[in-house]
Amino acid sequence: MAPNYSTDESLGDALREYFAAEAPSLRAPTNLWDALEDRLEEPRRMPRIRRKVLAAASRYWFPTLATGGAVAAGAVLAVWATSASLGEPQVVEKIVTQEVIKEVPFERVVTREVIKEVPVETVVTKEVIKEVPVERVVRREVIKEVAVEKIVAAPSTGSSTAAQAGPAPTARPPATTFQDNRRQPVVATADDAVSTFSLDTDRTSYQLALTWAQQGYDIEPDSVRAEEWINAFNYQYAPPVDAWGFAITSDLVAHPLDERKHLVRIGFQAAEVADDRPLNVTLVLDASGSMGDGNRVDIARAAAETIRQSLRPQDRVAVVHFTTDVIRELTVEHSQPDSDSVWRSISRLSPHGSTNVQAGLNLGVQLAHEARLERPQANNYVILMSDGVANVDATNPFAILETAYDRDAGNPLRLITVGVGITNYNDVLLEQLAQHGNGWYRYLDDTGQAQATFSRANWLALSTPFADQTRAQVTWDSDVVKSWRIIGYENRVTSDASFAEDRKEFAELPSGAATTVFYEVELHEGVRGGDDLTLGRVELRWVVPDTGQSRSQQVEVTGRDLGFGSAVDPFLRLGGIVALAADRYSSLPRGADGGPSGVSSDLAILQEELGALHSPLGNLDAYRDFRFLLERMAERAYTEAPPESRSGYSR
Amino acid sequence: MTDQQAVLRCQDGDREAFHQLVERYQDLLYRTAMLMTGSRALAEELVQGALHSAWRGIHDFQHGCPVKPWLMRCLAREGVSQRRRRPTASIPPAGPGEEHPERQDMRQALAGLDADQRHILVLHYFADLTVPQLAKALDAREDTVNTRLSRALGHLRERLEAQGAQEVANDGS
Repeated sequence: MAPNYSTDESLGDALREYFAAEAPSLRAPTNLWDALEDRLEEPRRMPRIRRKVLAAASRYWFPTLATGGAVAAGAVLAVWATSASLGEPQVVEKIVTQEVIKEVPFERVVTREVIKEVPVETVVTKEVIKEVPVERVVRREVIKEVAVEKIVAAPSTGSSTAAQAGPAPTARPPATTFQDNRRQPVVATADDAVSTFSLDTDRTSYQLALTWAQQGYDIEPDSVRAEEWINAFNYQYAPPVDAWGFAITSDLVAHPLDERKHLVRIGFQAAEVADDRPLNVTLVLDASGSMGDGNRVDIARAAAETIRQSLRPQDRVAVVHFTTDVIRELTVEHSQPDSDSVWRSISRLSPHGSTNVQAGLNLGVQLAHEARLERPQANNYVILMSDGVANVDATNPFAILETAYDRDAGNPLRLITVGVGITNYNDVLLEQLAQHGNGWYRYLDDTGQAQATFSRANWLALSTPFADQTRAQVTWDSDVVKSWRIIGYENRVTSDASFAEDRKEFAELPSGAATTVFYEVELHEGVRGGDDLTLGRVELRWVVPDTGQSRSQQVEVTGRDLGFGSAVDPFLRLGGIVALAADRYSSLPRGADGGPSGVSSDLAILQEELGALHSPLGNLDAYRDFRFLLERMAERAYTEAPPESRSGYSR
Repeated sequence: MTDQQAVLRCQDGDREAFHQLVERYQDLLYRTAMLMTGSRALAEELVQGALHSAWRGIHDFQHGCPVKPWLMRCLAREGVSQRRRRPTASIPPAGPGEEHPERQDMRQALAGLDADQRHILVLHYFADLTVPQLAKALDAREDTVNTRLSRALGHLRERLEAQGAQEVANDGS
């Protein structure tokens, strides 16, 4: 007779019996300790000061490395310095493992300046390191001397992913417009324990920076919105248990730049939902002269055509072209996606004249509004594709929105802005239009990316609204957390009182979207980060798009500091590095964080931490791209640091 | 040397004391990891990771607390971390075919669960981690752990019933 498992208790008993019967035959492998002991040999983290010195010194090496070499170069320097202080060549043997050596293109790392007296070939293997007169190679003076010499010889280009031809590495992309959003301050919990902000799923700031760096341009610090860098990465959050809500997770980790502080990560993962509602899509295409630069018209055309192909038979699409005014003969009212008039209009996008975003959006919103009246059951998207260089009529986002304003909050028009172009580009206009237009903002830098972003699978998720007016409020426990600072989200932070209101400028999230926020926190004396801590609580509120109903979800912010090493989820560490790098770099023009030399030193430490993630994450494009980007940022910060701080020893 | 003495010596950096702790608990940890993952390679990686983070976090160990649940919590955390690193790892059922039909059914049903669900069942019903201990280890609230346990049991029950129905159908045909 089949056993009865009808109660949890009986099934639990059966499980206990099963496990007890299975377990005795299982024995740990006999070499477990030997393998473990090797891992325990990993060097302990160096004290902050020494890491700073080494990281700053290592700046002179990184620019000459091919991608993949940075980790090992750091390791080699660390070995030398460690040996110098201990005076024991044996330490070298232990730390420089065969694996590390394999990855280092030594002939490039060890430059002529270094090896004045030591032949390159003999430095390379660990056997040879033993033979090198350690006290000569290792002396701090040698490293210092190298550093000084490298200042004279300007660093070469940083990475194999950089464009070989292009502008000087310090050139700013011409005629670009950004807004300097001052960073949020450190707040004492005793004064204010509550932090309120709108969620954000944009990642354009990161994509722009990566594109500039790849094209050989400098990364403009004002363009760095840390939250968009953080949210450009996939942290592999588990989906929520309930399809109506979010999975909210929190973590506490050591702060890689400041031993007195910790980082707290809070992740919000929306559920994946299917939505069969039809769509009314209105494409508003910028056909102005500035769109003739490079391939931006091709990109806009590819994006528009991919969207058209991703639409279903029940969806409708309209097309508006605008230059100095709208181009009436190319305007197509809402039609079947496969109708000839739609693709013909898209294919005839060609640049000329000035840019009147306001006229384009006005007509787009008018057409979308008519479609909404006709098909009230549909979701409505207005998609603006532009370089954002508005120069006729209203040119500021709020003035443009005022006239194109959508007053039907019950079934809103959602404004998606798609940016194209590298130079002569207005990031502020496109970002703000989307933020205040119920939508989101994407940046495309080639036609392949346009096709991938709006492929049918992506489009189905992106065009399924999951949560509107989404905002979060974190309330820190003032007995545990002494002070806090939110990283990024400068133009998303809102007053604590506004949390109770459903406001249009709060974030609209599509199905399956994830948002991550990092805080720097200082714990009270006596509170041990290594304990399981409850740091406060976080509440999320949003409006359900279909019903207009307000929802709320609340969990405790908990965590336990396991350091910043291999015991910590590598994606969490990556996120921490991305957050801090973006945060520090964005402060570069204002001399915060110890000025350019402080930022330079911090970025060098973050490069080191990123290098340590090569083993778990090195195969990811996102990891490699960010490492390249961080190299360029570190170079820029370094060039801005005053010469006396470049020795790598003190500041 | 008692566990507590060993931990004290570990906190002074005594590797040999840690070796003793490892010898004492390695089979238990490995069994738990094998039941969680069903794979020798994954189980070894899990145990190594757990012991590594235990060594790194030895200074956070609170004196007077028992060592076993602390190590199990390290294992549970490492399990979460491993799942994040290998989100798509497929985990086969443990061991070869078993002569005892009930054990075979249970093995098959467990193998069909999500890894997270199997982990929590093993940690609770084999490693004897209580709900509060699981909540600490998994960074979750106790009622969340209760819900997850109950859901895991529910899914296990469904699988066992489905397998039972299949067997009846096969017998009948």
